[in-house]
Amino acid sequence: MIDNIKSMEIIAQGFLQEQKYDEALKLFSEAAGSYQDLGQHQQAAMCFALAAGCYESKAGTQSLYYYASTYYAKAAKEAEISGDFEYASMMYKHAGICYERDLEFVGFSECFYLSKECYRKSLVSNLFNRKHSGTYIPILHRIDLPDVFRSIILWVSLSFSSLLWGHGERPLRTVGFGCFLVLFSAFLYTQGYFMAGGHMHRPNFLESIYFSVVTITHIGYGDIMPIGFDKGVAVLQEFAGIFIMPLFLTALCRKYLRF
Amino acid sequence: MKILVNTIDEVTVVILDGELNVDDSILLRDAFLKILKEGAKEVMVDFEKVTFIGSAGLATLIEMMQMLRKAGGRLGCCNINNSIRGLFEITKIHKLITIYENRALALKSF
Repeated sequence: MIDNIKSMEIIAQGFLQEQKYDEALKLFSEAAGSYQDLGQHQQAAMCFALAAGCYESKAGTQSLYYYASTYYAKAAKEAEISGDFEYASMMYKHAGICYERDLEFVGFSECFYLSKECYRKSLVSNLFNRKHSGTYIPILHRIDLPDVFRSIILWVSLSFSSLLWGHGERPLRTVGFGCFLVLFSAFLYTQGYFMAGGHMHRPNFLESIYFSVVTITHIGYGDIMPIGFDKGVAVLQEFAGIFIMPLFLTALCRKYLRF
Repeated sequence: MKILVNTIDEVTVVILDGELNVDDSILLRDAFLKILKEGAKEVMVDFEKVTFIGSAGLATLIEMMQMLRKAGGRLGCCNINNSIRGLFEITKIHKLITIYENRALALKSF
């Protein structure tokens, strides 16, 4: 079987050099399928990428970017299965670019999101996972502190971006995050005191939710005033509210105004 | 495929001769693991005598680049002919691995 794939690749590369893209991509995708059957996902990823490249080269004259992006996405999937997240991220990015050229924005959005997610995973994999090395690398040899810090900071910011708005492609996550913030702050408010109508009291959960919504949306009726600990929570919630609203609107516009 | 390993000015130069296919990729991977165990950080692969590279060879190169980066080193390739350069560009590997025109230029940049 391996010999068969080997000769398939040799012939396909010959076709590629002669710019016979149809024949080349057929053989490359066949080889990719065979590698998939053998469980050799990295090789399958390469063959799918080569098939995508054939479509992209052909697409100069015809509208074939959609097919190129499909193959790039397949290559990314295979690279992801093999644990090569960096290559997967790059393949998803190119799939996204091809989808955008074909004005296929749903595909673009999904690939952009997956590209960012794979990049985030590759940061962790570069730091901890030694599966690919299959050998012992001396620890002092491995550590490069500035690089480690850079990777950690990048991972934290990408994780936060994923959680908060799905890298700009999941506006509903911002709504979810806002709801969580309202409920969590409401819970914290119940631990402190409010001043309303000249009386200080410990608020119940419903009153806290009301105050939490009024605070995060910056309405501020002034009928209730937080005191002590609750004042601190209110300040933090207002500060978070400044960012959540624009993020939600940006993500919503970014996603839906493309159509 | 023949694999020759040299060290020039603290750069480990891996000279490949022949076709880089499925079986040869395993040989290259083994040779590379040996180099890594010996503590090499800067590795350059010379493609001057490579006549063909298959998907397994491309996958091995990416794996080598990642292993080396985990060890705090870097990988470069030089003397790549046009057809192999085309494959690198189609598979976007040229964005992950630095490619140099020739060995002298590569050694200078390392």
